Amino acid sequence: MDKNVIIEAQDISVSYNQKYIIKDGSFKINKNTLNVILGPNGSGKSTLFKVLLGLKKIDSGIIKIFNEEPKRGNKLIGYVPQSRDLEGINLRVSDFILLGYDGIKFGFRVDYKKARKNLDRVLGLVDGKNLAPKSINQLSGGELQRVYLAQALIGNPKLLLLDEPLSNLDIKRENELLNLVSNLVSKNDLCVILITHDLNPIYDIVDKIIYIANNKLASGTKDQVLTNDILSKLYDSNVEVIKDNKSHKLIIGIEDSGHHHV
Amino acid sequence: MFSSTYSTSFSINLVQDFLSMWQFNFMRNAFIAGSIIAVIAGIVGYFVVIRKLSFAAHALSHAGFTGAAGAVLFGINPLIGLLVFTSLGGVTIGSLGKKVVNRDIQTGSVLAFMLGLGVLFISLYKGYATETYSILFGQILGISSSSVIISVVASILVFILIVLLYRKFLFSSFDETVAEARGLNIYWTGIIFMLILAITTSIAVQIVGVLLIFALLVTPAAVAVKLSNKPINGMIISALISLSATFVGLFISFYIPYPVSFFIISIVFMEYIGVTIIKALKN
Repeated sequence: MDKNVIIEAQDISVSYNQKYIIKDGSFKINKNTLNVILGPNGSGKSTLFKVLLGLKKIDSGIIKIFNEEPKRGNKLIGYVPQSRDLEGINLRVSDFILLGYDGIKFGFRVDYKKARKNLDRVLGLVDGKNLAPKSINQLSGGELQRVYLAQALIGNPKLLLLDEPLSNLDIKRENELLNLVSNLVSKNDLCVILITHDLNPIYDIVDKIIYIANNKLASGTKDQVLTNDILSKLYDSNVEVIKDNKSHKLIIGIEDSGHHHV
Repeated sequence: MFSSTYSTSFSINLVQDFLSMWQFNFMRNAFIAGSIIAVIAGIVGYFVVIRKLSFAAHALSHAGFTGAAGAVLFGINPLIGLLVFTSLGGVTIGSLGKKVVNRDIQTGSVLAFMLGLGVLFISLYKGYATETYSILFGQILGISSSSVIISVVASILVFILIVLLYRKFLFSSFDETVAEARGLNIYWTGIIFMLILAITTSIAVQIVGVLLIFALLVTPAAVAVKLSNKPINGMIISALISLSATFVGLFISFYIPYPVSFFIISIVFMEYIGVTIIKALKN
């Protein structure tokens, strides 16, 4: 495997409730890149994350991540799920983040100094040192996303999986989070895969797109994937990608095309 | 019997009063078992609240009723019946997953059947009605020495398990999806916790009965969660609330012939209302 490649999937098929979500899909992810998984609701974007996390088995094909089969508890991966049930939970931000550090260990924390050092490091990375003593239920949407990011980063991962981190954020917070994420990629030897239904805010900084629709998968640079040909094949219907004079793209012909203005 | 230096009537000297009670074997048993059980229930209750399992605690105590009634019918220590039935119920709920607990219609139907079975056992029993009464509403003053020993051993076991699995329980309670991705076995963690809950419910039923189980297992922890955002402090506060309520409840009931469980639930409830009001005013 090429040293730069951290994920390589060859003809993988994944099903859910005996229905194919991905059939014979192939893609590669390089290190130090920012990648986006796009596709309509229910197309299997989050399921692909579950495969990478070792929580879901593939039906056929080969998938290697850091040159190994996907496995649960892979320390090289940091994960931020789409939704968390934190309603009414009165827990300190620092305790919440530290659960990501050593929450799977037995007994009480012994080396508190080392844990604290790691906590300070990730809070610095997400610009959230002032958040540590607050309760998780006092945070705004943007602050929560930064805390989630800090928790995912505390194990020093090489790959970060972010499931819909931009939903529920206003445009300003969206941009702040994306700046943070792209800084992490460029300065911290990190690869990020981000699920979104809106490519708009991330279009300029994304390296690669994985597009999943109708159990087919296409991957490549944005210019390779966002074409009439590729998208028409994915959707089995005529899809047109229109460029405006600022080279922004508008995809039409998809049922929920509103989500795919780029 | 008690020595002539102590009297059973209330005096202003609380230490003197307490020593008077301590003369009685049944009061000693009640204080020892009550204190240990209250502390354990308070700690476990913290996890019950953060795992949103209060309905499961309710369900288990009802399953325990049938076990206790059956045990009484067959002349066995009701605590054994409680432990067996709540543990079976706990493991079943745990293995079926969290979603099952929230299926209130199915769980409710099974519960109703269990209670019906308990009623049948009670009606078949030819002994005193006090047995039924103590299962339903608790009767710590009548706790036997063998039940004290079982309760202490069970409490120590629960405490060891909580210390050992402390971080795993916290992680899976607050952040299940990420905990699973990080390699935590959610399934077994859930089952072990349900077993802990079953044991705790069984021993706590002796104090407050199956119908008032919330008094020790839910309400103190609900107050604690409002008061602290640090898990350790939350557990300590919760344990202190149930301990103090049990202690004061026992103390008062020595002089006033009303059920201990009534005093305990009243004290805990007042604290809950008080903290809720103070919190609301602060905001």
